[in-house]
Amino acid sequence: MTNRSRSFRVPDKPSLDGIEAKWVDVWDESGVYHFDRTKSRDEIFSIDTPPPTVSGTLHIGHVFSYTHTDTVARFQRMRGKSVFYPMGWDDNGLPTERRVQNYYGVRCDPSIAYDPDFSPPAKPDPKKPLSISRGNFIELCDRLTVEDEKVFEHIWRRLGLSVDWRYTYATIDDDSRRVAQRAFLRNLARGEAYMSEAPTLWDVTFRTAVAQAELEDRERPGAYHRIAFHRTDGDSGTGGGTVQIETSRPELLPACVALVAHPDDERYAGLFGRTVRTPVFGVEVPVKAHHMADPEKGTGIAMICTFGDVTDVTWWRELQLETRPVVGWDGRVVTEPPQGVDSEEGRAAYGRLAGATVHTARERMVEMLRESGELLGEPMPITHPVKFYEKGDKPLEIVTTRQCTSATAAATPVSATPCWPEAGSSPGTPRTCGPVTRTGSRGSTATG
Amino acid sequence: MRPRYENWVEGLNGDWLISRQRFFGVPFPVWYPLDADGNPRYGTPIVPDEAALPVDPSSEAPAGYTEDRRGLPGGFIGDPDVMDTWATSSLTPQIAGGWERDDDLFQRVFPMDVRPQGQDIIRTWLFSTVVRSHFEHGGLPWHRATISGFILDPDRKKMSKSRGNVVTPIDLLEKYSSDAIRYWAASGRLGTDTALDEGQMKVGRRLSIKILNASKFALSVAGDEASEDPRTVTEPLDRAMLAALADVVEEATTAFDDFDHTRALERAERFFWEFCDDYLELVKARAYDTGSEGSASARAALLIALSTLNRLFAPFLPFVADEVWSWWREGSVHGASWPEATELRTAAQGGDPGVLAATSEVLRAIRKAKSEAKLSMRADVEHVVARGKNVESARVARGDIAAAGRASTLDFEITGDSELRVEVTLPEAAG
Repeated sequence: MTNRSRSFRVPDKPSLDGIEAKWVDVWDESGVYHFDRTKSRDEIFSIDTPPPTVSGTLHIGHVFSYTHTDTVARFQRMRGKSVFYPMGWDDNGLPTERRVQNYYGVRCDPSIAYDPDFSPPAKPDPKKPLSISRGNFIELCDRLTVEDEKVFEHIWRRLGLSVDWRYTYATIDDDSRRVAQRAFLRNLARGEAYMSEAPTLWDVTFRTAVAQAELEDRERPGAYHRIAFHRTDGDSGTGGGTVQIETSRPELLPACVALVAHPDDERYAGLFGRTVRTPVFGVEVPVKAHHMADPEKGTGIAMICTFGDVTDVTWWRELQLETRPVVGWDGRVVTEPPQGVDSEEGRAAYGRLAGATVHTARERMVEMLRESGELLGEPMPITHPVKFYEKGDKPLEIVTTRQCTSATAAATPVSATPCWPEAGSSPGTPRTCGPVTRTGSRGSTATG
Repeated sequence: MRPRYENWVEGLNGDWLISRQRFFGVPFPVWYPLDADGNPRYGTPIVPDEAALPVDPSSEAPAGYTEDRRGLPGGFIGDPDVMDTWATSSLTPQIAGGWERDDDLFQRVFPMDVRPQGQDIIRTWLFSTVVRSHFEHGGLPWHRATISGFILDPDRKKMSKSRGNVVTPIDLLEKYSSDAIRYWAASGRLGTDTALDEGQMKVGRRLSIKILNASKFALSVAGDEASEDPRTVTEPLDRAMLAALADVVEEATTAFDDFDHTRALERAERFFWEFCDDYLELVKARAYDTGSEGSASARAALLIALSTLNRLFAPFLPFVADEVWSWWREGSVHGASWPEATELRTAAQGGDPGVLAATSEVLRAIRKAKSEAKLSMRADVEHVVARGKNVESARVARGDIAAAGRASTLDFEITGDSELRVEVTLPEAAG
């Protein structure tokens, strides 16, 4: 109690008016939140502050959660810890690109050469975006994020976050790029990252690959189409020489590489190892057994296409099937028919799909199946979960591209268990929050 | 929360694809040589020296090549892709901590103490940060992760941009004050979804104003000549108040150690209101009677309590706390030390919190009687009798009760009753 003032200086009318502006300045000048880096590790409390995405506006949810952290930072500081409380800005990535596109009315075209005298349109029209070079586009991203970061910092200071503003970073700045590239190169050198040509979940709007963690299922209307494949073994004992399957994606028929049923499904036991011919295109494909085939679903036997969904990828890989990709990066049916679609009729039928969007191709395929009599009954409307990129509005397709991948599935420390309060525990119940421990690694192999 | 992480890890069926065919991101630091026909030899990528980082393979040539060989047979091409944004943000502990840039800093802050984050990015940010640290350092990036809940709109629906029910924070900060918004935020526990409740913000604003006004009052009652020496605190009621405050400090400290900021705030807040409503009222007459030993005791206790409360509120209401602190102390409250329960217990010198509770109860009974009779709180009381097993706890503060309640005679009868019963006799209505 030695830091008492000589005399009390109490204002006549204490008030909250202007209190933030006054103290934000005082704290900034006094450096009371400065991290003392001469302290040793056990005298330090360090915080891995979440870098907010600066492309949007700050949300009251940010204020909520950042306040929680700030109370702990302040408590630890008063406890005598030197608190390392940095602030980052997450400004790299799609959200910034989209904001720049809308804000300046531009789009990036990497084939255009850099224009050193470029200035953005005076009257941006996001509906008619101006194509600009990659270099110019990135300059606009840098320019806008700097502005956005100022707004964020102002709000954080006003909220009273006790951040040490000497320690800030942006996820696109030189140092972040250096760290990200260095860590990647080391992953690559140690075999933890690899490059490969592989089927990839693909967003056709953003034309980019999407990771498993960015997926979400959305319920979408669709229809099951019952379609007849033809037996090639001359045995007309079952179903008049046809094998019936149900599919919600008939437009992928030219991409069909096999039929699959469960190994215990007696209805199809006689077909395993034999072949069938696809409707309309007349391509001969094998009939395979796989435990992931669901006897309860549809007729119990399904077509495998490259690629309708992630299960197709698994089957394709594990059963070592042909590759007949038909959907391109733009979400349209590619011009050239895949290998295997060789007959004149097949190529003519494919010509009716080429260049069409997936949606249109589906309608045309159904027409062709009706004409050939290979559509059995009417399509049965359903609602089913479809995979979307969380930021996208068209269903994901699966295309084959060259990609860099991190071997996480093989190496993830599954027992790394960061600790947090259990959701739903009743208010007032004490929560435990002990240190994290890691006790082992998972041994499964990478399959991606 | 924790099972969400475990389920995600257990359910992984593929590796993490990090290439993105976009522009504003960190480029892959990789080039490919072109063979004599101009085809890329993907199997033998060219990578830069770490010292050359960061590089942009779309605009820079790899070592051993000149830019004019780009795209030509026998030349090279740059990898056109950028990394998934999580491939960078999974390295925030390394970026912020100065990994390979400032080794001295890095060894002082890494692994970090805490990773605060939202529950919606457990499978992305939390998971990928663990993976990168596991690869690079063979250990975890932090000791703890604290996971916040979502904010729900007043109808308890999740707020999101797509729902269009987002409220901008700056309007609320200006309307209620920053401390008020922080009060609302701190009322939400970790991992618990919380409604956007302007009612709570109003409560926070009222608390902030009350702290300003009550502190001003307490300082004026104590006066700047008052001693803060704990040995000056001699009266049982003052010691009782400090003992009760020691309990509060202890609970708030334990709560904070468990990352339960809400409980720390609740305890401080509850004590503060009782301190204002009861203790301040009980002791002000005695404190004003300067020159007496009882006055010095009350004034010292007031200042010790005020200093403690200032510091207990500092993490939650940093503006108000520093404002009050600046009226009577040097430096910032945010550079001051967290209150110690043991110090307060020493100052309380064996004080019994039961004395404060019992005394306050008698005062409240007197007030209630006046209020029911529709009398002013300043009205005189003829006679007060308190009965009960623990009536001694109130008797030791007889003078304070008499002054605060304006009671001319007070009697205390020990009975077997564990509950304290108070009988208040008001004067016959005049005229």
